Amino acid sequence: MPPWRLITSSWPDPDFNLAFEWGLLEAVKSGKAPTTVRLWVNAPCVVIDRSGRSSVEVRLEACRELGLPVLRRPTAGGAVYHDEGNLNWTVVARREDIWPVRWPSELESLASGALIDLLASLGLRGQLRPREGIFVGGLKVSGMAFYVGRQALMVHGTLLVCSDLRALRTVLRCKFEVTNISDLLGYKLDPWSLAPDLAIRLARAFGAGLVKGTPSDHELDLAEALRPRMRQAEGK
Amino acid sequence: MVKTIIMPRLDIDMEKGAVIEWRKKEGEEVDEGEVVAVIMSEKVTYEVESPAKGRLARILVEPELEVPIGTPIAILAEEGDRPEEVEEAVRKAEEALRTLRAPEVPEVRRPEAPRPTVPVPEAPKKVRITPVARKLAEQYGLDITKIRGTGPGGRITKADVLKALEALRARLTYREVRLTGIRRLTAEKMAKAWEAPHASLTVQVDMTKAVELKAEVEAEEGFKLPYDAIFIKAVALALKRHPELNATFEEGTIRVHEAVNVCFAVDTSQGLITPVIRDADKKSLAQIGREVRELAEKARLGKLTMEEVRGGTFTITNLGVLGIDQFTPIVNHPQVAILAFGTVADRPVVEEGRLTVKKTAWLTVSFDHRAVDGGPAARFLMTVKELLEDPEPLRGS
Repeated sequence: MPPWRLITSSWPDPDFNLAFEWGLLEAVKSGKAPTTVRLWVNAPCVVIDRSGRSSVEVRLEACRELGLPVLRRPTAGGAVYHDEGNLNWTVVARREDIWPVRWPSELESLASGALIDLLASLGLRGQLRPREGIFVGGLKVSGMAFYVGRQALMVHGTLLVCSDLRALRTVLRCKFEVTNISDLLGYKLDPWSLAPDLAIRLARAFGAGLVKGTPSDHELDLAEALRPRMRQAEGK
Repeated sequence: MVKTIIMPRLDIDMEKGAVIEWRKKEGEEVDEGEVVAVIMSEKVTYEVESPAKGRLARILVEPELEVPIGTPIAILAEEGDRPEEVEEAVRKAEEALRTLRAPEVPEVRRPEAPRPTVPVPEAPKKVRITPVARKLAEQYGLDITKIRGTGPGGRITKADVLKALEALRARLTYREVRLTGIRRLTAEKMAKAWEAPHASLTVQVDMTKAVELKAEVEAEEGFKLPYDAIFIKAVALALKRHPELNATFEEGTIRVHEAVNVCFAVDTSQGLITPVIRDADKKSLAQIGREVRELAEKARLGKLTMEEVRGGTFTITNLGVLGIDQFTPIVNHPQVAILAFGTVADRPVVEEGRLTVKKTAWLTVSFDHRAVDGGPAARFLMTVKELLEDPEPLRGS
């Protein structure tokens, strides 16, 4: 299998970051982008699922007061809070590159294996609760969601490294108690310091290597075109 | 034939889902495999592909409406389908939908309106647990709502927590084994299967007539008939006579299946895949042979669809092609039994007191002894042997 592409591009505008996530999926689906691992951080915002169903988990009034945009992502799942202390990770794979992985539970098993290994390297014992996320000592540190398409599969998620949990609890009706990796370790970690290790572990979990790449013009154009759709969530 | 597209199950614990986008309109033409809708469960977004080339005759559920898995969501008409057949399928599907809706009308999502199906903070459940057990669980960060109590009135005891901890440690230890990628998935599946107490039975089969039948079918049909096709057909007919082996076992429940869907193991560069021959008992040998060739090729190219790998009720595995005489397989969880075939070769056989040479093969059935006893498994195996030694019933559909 050829090595997968690693991109670490993030932009200041959270809606463009989300639009790029969606555009990346569309580009891989259409065969115009290779299988990709993306590590990224976002400016403060709240992200809900594709259909907007999880908007009931969001305190919209609080978001308005804090000036936080509420944006959509291409997958299902609950609402999440993004800021610069949260490391986002994404795997978008062409079907042939990820075969015979087919099921969301298989994507979850492989991706969570990489995250649990990363946590173990920091001396933390992570535990996967299927469909709920990764927990350390009963506190959630990571959640993930899935897209299973004809040509491509996507699993992406969050990793709370040093997020503003007060803001998170203000804007979200949390189902689980959450914590930061930094809080568990007792010292502050920069999310980007974990990015290379996580990228390698994610690729390795799927049996692939990595080569550093950059977004193509096609992907950036797609993201620009999709950008208005990200904001539709604010009408919810 | 008119086809009903249903809300698929995307994961083992999925109960319902919603179409969030129809990619095709009513009346629009679709190709086989083309995406007709995007559906969403709690955590998964999934593209539903058309099961055949045809016309999307009717969309049965509006976007955002949550329906249980198995619910008809659309009707697909193939070329040549008569309008009355299509209408009949629509009528049946709408009736099924009405039945589903009767006890409880699923809610249409309204922005910001709380609904029962979305994850909202739940009132804490009262968990009966001894103080020592609670402390121990807290110490190790165990979720006590996930521990089954065996004390009086279901109270969680220290022993229950220790047991849960042991299970957790086993899992963590397992994770520490540096398996990656597909190997890791296979390992997890095999570990799950191995939880079943296995027993195995072996018998040698005279394959002389089966080999002759294979040659005849090849001459008639003009393609090389894989041995797997013969084995699948023999197994399928034997399962109709011994349905207790055509079963799955999960969460303490044995489900004996009406349909005989036989999986066959394919060795690919990416790992072991088990495509399914559906209703194998109703298909001719030639038809099974064609499907085996087609599915095996798709497996090697990584092009199997979900429908082509799920719903199996029994599995065969054949390492004879690799020269293996005999081996003991592990059941394909949650199925209750699997049959292994070794190589078909000339071997010395004693027949009517005389030593002779015949084409034979070794068959080994492994079964989950929680669900199947030795007697039924032995009778099943002997039926397969009889069918292979006198294979005329295998020919037809």
